Amino acid sequence: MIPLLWMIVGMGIVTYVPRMMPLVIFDAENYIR
Amino acid sequence: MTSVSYTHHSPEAWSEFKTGLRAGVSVAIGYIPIAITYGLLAKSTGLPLLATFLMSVIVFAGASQFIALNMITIGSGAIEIILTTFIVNIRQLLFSASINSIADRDSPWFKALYAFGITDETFTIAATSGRKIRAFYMFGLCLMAYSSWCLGSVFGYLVGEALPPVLQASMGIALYAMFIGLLVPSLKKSRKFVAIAGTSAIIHTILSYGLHMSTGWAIVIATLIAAIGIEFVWKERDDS
Repeated sequence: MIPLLWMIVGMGIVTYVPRMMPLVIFDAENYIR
Repeated sequence: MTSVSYTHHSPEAWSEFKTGLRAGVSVAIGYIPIAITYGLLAKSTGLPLLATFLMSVIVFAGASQFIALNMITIGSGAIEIILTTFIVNIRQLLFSASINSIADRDSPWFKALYAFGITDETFTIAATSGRKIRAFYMFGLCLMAYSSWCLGSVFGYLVGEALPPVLQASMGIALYAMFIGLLVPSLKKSRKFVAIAGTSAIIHTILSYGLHMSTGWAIVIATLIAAIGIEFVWKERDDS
């Protein structure tokens, strides 16, 4: 069960990062302006 | 530092949230049958209920969850499954970038939160809404989609448990039927998809049967080579 949970967490991370990066990282320019 | 257009306790925020919830109803209605199917298949794969639920809660990406079930069935390792999930979901980078171009100025924390709920369907609803995307609208929209997906998964699993053993055992075939159901409409639309699917099938066969590579890695490598290779060939063809 534990390796399965780690796998699910890994799947969650690689799914979340592409969803989050453009919104949070690209948005930085709005804050510089 | 720019100011956020409204605060989390303003009536406007509540109204945006409710609009988002209403917009999410159509997504939720579409998600429930797929989530139930996912739960049913997770049960037939032998995944525990907690893992089935957590996968929906933590990953929240239908196609990659179905692929993960298939890869668990064929005995793939965790790294192969995580890599495949990354390849399948990297497209959401484009959705998110597109949402950012129509998003209102909001706290990056709010954006980081609603980014979790960006899927093909919530993106489509948000992008075609013709409105400036605000955090509380996205919270409502994503919450509706997310809750239907998570609850549907658990419901599907419990339904699977209640089925007679013979039916449970035969559910394995449903996974392949579902993938065929997902693939065929794309194949009808474009010859490029036929080329990608065909090429990846050929590469996968060579890698797993010819070179005796593990099925999980064969899937990862075949998908990458076919998608990048055919895209490149198609671009060259369009340019000439």
